[in-house]
Amino acid sequence: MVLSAKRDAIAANYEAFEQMLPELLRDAPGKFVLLRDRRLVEVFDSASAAHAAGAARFDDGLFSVQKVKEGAVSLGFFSYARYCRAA
Amino acid sequence: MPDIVGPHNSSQVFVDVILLPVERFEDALDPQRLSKAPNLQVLRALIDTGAQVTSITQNAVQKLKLEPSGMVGIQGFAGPSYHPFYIFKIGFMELQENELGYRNPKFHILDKEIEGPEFDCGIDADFDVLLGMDVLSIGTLTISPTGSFKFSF
Repeated sequence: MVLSAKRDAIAANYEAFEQMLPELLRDAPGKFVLLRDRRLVEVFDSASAAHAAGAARFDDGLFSVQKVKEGAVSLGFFSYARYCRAA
Repeated sequence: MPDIVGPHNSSQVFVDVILLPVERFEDALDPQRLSKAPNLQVLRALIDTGAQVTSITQNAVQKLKLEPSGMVGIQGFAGPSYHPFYIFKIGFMELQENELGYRNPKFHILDKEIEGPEFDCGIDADFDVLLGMDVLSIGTLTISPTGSFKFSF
């Protein structure tokens, strides 16, 4: 699997995930979703369970996992440190 | 209950950790397998009670050849920015002295799964992992005025 293909798949899935989020927050808050080709595959209780299911089903590794939650996280000082730029 | 102890420099607290990626979670159950696990490197973590979540520098991600699992927003000056995150567990090393006086590391892998975002501190960053409250809140952190710290969990 090429890492850039994985990153592209994750970005595309994340865009689709954001569209699904309002409904998911109602139905499965705090759970983890497995996504593939911008579609929701299944909901899991843990990130590792979602990852294991994705690895078992999709040999090419082009899937992603997202936690059903709202809002961004804070890294405190390092969220705002000027010499620490976004990856 | 393990006690992880070490010195601090009165301004920052660093601790050695290992990072177990999601593909190797089963290794945590077997210390023999754990010691032979590829990519198992000791990383330098900065303890940061101001960080909500544990995160990993881009430099360490490249060093460990980690694969991202998804994306997460991180708060910043101009609103959130979006970063890849990695699913992993954190382990601490407790140095135990054997009968010959040698200090052997004993690994303590936390059960907690972490979805840790990647961030770029440049290649000059003096740490690999930012140890946030998701990990620190599982134990008791004591910072002593005599220049040492203890994390018990």
